[in-house]
Amino acid sequence: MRAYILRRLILAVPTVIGATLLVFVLMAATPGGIGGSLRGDGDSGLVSSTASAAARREYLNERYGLESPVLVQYGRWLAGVLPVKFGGPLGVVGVGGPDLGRSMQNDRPVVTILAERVPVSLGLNVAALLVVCLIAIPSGALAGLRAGGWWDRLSSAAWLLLWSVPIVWAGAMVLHLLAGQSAVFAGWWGESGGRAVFPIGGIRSSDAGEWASFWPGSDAGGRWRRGLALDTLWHVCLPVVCLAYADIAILARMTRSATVDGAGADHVRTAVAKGLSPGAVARRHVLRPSLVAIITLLASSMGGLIAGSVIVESVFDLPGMGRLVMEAIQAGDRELLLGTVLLLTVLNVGAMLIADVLYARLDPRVELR
Amino acid sequence: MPGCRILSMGLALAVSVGGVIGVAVGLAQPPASGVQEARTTWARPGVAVVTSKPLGFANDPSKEPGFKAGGMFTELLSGVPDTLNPLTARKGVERRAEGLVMQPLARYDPMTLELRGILASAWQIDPAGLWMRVKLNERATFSDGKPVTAEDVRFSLKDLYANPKVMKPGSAIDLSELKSVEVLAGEVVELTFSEKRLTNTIGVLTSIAIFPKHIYSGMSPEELTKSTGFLVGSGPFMMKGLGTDPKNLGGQWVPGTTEIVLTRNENYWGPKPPLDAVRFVAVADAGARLKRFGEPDVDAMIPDADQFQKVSGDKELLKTVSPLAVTSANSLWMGIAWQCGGKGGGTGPTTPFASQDVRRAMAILIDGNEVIRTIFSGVGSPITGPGNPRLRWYDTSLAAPTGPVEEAKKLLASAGWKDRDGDGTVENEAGQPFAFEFIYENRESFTKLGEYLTARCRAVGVRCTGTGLSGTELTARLKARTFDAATVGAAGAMDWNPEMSWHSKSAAGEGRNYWQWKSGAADALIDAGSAELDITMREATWKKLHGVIASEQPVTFIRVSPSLMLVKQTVGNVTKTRTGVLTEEFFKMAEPAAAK
Repeated sequence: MRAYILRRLILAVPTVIGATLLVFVLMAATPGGIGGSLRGDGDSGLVSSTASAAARREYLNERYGLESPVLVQYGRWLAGVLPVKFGGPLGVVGVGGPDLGRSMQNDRPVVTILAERVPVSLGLNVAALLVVCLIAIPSGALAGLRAGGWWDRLSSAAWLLLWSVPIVWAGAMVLHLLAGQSAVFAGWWGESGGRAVFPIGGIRSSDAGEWASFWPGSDAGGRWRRGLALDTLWHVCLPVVCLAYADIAILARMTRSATVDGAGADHVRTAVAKGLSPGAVARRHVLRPSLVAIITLLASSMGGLIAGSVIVESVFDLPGMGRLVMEAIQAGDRELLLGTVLLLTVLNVGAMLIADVLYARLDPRVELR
Repeated sequence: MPGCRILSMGLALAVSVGGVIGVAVGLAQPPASGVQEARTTWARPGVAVVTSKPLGFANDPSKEPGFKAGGMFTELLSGVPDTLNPLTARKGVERRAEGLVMQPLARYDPMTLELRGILASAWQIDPAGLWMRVKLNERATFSDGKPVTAEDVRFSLKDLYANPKVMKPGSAIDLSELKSVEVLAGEVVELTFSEKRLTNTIGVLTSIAIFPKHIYSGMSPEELTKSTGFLVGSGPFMMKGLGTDPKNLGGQWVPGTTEIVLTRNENYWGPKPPLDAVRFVAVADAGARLKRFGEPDVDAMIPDADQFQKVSGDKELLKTVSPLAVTSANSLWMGIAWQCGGKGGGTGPTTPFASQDVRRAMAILIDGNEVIRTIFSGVGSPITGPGNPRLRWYDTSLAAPTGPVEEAKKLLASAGWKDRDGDGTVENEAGQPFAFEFIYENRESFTKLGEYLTARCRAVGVRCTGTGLSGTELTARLKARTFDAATVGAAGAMDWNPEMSWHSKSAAGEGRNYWQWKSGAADALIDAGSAELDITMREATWKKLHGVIASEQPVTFIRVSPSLMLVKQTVGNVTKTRTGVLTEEFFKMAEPAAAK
C-alpha cells in the first residue's frame, strides 16, 4: 500500500505539469492569446500617441514576458510554483513556498483571489453534496430493495425528469418563482407588499455587515436579525438546489443499481436462508457492501468540491471559482488561470488517490499494486 | 475777463475730474466675456486668462416638482469592479465612485460643453502649449473640511500621476511630457511641458482627480497602487464608513464586495446633492440584473439592448419605469471599416477597397436608417463621422452617400469592376471576382448586419461572406490588418484626438488606423489641429477633417448608440445632458413621476 501511494504521488507531478501545460498551450493558441485583454485595452483617457501605446506594450512585455516563447513563459511560471528554487552558482538556491504570481487583470496576488473564491464554491458544493447524499442514497436504496415496485418506478421517472432539466432553465425558473419580492410566490403566506421567499442573489444581505451577531437574535434596538449564519444559509438555498438536483438523480440511480446487484448476491440468499429478518439482511448484507462503490464515488468527487459551476454562479451572482475561471479565460489571464488549474488538478489527483485507497480499505477483495 | 477765466478753469477742472472718475469706473467694470487681459497679479502678463463661473447644478433639483431631500439612490452596475483607485482603475464601472467622490480642476458643462472650472477658478494656457497656470477655487475643500491647495495639485500631478513608481508606463493617464509643477503664491500652480499637446493642458484640467496631500502623502507608492477603495476627495459624496487615516485602511472597499456605498459629503463646498446616499451594486449577469432591478430597493440599471426593448414595449412596466436612451458626447459610434491598404500591412495584397469609388459604392449600398430600424430595433441615430451631433466639432450638414443601386454599380464600373462574363458577379480586368470577407464580433445584431451586407452586395454582383468572431479574435485581426472589411467602433470624445486612428503614420505599428487609410488632406488637418490649443479653432479643423473622412469613406459610419438606462419613476430630476445623466442631481420622490 505504501509503495502504491508513493508511486501515485510521484506520478502526480507529471500529471499536474501536463494538465497545466496543456491548458497554457491551448490558451496561447486562442485568438488574442495570453494577456489578450491587457493588450487589447481601450486606450481611454490621455493616451494620445503611438509612443504611449508602444510604451505600454514594452511595459507589458517586460512585466509579463508576453512576447517570450510560450514554453519560456510556462517555464518561468513553473519555476515560481516549484518549492525548489533554482539559481545562483550551485543551481539550487533553496526551498520556498509556491509563488502563484499576480493576476494580470488587477495585479492582485492569485493566492488572495483564490482565498476569496474557494470558500464560496466549497461551501456551495459541500452543502449540495450533503443534500444529495441525504436524499439520493435512501431513495435509491429503497428503490433497489423494492425493485419493480411503485417507489422504484416513481422515483426512476422523477430522477430521469430531474436529470433532463437544463440547469440554466432550472435556475431561471426558481428565480422567477421564488426569488425576490417580485417573484410569483412572493408573499404567498399572506404578507402584504410581497415578502421575498428567497433572495435573488449574492452570498449575504446588503446590511449584513451591520449585524454584530453570527446567530439569529435581537439587536440592541430589539429588532430581530437573521444573523450571518442564517442569512448565508438563506442566500445559498436556491443555488444549492440547482447544484444538487441533477446529482441526486445520478447518485440515486447508482445506489439503486448497487442495491439491486447486492440483493441478488449469493451471500444475501444465504443470509435469508439462515433466517435473518429482511431488515437485518438489508442493512448488513445488502446496503453495506453497496455503499462501498458509492463512498468511493463520493471520495473521487471531493476534488471537484472547489470547482464552481459557471451557470449557477452567474444566475445567482455568486463570486465563486466557476466565474473566476471564465473571467481568467476571457481575459487571457495567465497567472490566474494556471493558478486555478493547478489547484484543481492537485485536489483532483489527491481525491482520486484517496478514493482508490479507501476502496481498497473497504473491499478486501481489492488489492492495490 | 475774470469771469471767463473762472469759467474756463472750472470747466477744465470738471473735465479732468470727470475723466479721472470715468477711467476709474471703466477699470472697475467686469469684462464682457470670460477672457480678459492679464491684469491679475497671479497671471503671466500678455496671455489671456480664462475665468470660469462656478459650475453649479445643470438643472436645480429643488425647482423640480415633487422635490424631496434625502433617501438613497441604488444603481446596478453591469460589471464587477476590481478596484476603485483612480490610479489603477481600468474599467468604466471602476470610475463611477471616483466621479462622485473626487473632482478634477475643470469639467465640461453638461449643457453647453464649455469648459468650466471646478477646483480651478481661472487658468492661462501658453499659446505655444509649453506652460499652463491655474488659479484654484478658494471655496473648494476636501471632505474633511481642509481646503484644496496648490500643493495638493502639485502632489497629485507630480507625486502620483507622473510618478513612474505609481503609474505604470502607457497607463490611461500619460504625463510623460510634464516637466515641472511649481506652486506659486495665492494658490496658483504652474505646469510646464516638453511638448505642445492638448492632452497636456486641457487633459490635465479635465482628467486628473485631485488627491488631498495631507492624507495620501503618508502612503508609499506600493500602498498607493495596492489600495483598492481608499477614496478621499472634494466631491459631493464620500465613501461610507471610510476614515482618513491611510495607516488604517480597514474600512476601505475591497474586491469581492459587490456593493459600493457613498454618503453625502456634509462639508461639500458646492451645491449639496439632495440624496443622502448613493449605492452601486455589481451584478455581472444580465438576466440576474434585470431580476434584481425589479426589487423595490433598486432605482436604476444599465440594460442591454434586448432588455431595453422589452421594457420599452411593456405597458405595465412603463407605468413605473422610464427607459432612457441618452446620446451624449461620449456615446459609442459604430461602422464598417474597409481595408484601404495591403492585407497584413505593408506590402500585402490589396483589397478592392483600396479604391475610393468602391468604398463610396459600399456606402451607397448601406442605408443607415434601414439598418438601425431593422437590425437595431430603432435604437440609435445615423451618423456620418466618428462622433455624434452632440459634439461641437461634428458637422451636421454632412450627409451619408445615398442613391440607387445603379449609382453603386456605376462607381464599381469606374473602378474596373464589371460583370464581364454574365455570371452575375463583377470581375476586375484580370478576371478576378469581387469577393470579400466581412468580419464582426459574434453577436446577433452583427450577424444580421452581415446578412444585410451580403444581400446588398449581391444586388451589385459582389460576393460578401460574413464571419463572426470572438472579441479578442476580432481585435487580433484588426491589429494585424488581416481583414477586408470589419465592424469597428469607439467612444466619441469632446477632445477628439484623431491622430491614433486617422493619420497615415498610425496605419502601422501601434496605431489604430487598422484600415490603413492614407490621406494627405487628412494628415495636414490632423497635424494642424493637434498643434492648435484654441478649442474653437481646433474644432473648426476637426469639422473639416470630418468632411474629408465622410467624403473618402475609409469607414462607412452606421450609427451612434445611446447609453441605455432604466430608471424607476421614483427618481426625480433625471435630466438628459450632453455628458449623460447626472447622479448627483437626482432626488427620490415621494410619488412616482410621469415618464419624461
